[in-house]
Amino acid sequence: MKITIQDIAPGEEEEIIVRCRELDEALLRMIHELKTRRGKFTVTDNDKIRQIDAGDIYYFEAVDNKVFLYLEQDVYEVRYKLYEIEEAYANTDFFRASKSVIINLAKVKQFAPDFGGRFEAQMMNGERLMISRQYVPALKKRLGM
Amino acid sequence: MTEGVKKRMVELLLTFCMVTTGSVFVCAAYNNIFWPQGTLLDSNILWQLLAMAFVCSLGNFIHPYREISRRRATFNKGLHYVYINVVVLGCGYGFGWMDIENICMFAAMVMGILIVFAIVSFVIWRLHKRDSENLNRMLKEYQQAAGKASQQ
Repeated sequence: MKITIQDIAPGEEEEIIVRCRELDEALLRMIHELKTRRGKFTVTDNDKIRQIDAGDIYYFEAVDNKVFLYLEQDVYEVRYKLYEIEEAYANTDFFRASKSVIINLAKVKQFAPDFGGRFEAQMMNGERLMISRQYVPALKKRLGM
Repeated sequence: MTEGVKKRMVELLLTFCMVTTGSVFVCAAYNNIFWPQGTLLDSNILWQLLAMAFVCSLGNFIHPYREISRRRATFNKGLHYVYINVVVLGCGYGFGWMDIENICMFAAMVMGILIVFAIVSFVIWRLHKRDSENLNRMLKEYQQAAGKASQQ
């Protein structure tokens, strides 16, 4: 497979274009790896350092200037700002759902209508998170609507 | 024009159309019941209904685009209903659609407001529900594509 790297102008968005005859499984896997950037999050758990797979994260929430990472059952504090996570995980499964929450779309069971143009994201672990109406157009765009 | 402003304009237009339609139905029924001789209807009432529907539609701005709590959203919904009542009853009194001393006329007007408000709210909820169904369909497709790739 030929790989071409092009320089871009400052401020221009970085982009990966896949040119192929057919989107086969290997390519799909590569795209998925790129999109989810199966990176590890480092958290401290009772003075022990733990690595968490990004794909296992359900959502991030900012509470009183602290940011927490939620797994299916466990919660850890992370030393990043929410906007830093949003930037680092742009164009992956992570999606900014409100001022204080970033959700993992891969962990959403379903969406339900809520008051005042908002939606509720019902997560696979049973938790319910609000999607602010400000972010609904971005969600629709992300899912291809 | 930003995405948010565009969305608000579309919502305003949609609400205006629904309120106008509802008002025409209520006006027709109200006229038959309380003004059977046709004394209420003159050409001005059409403009009056349009003006009232427009002012009612402006009530959409009670719901801010910015993020608010569920409690605040519920409070705003109640405030919106009160606003609609004030506008319609004010128009009813100002334009002479009802005799303020006639309790039946007043009650019918309040009932008309309730019915139109409920219907408009239901239609908006249905549109919202349809939106969520489409979102769920797209979410499934999104997750299937991602899942298929990650299984490799």
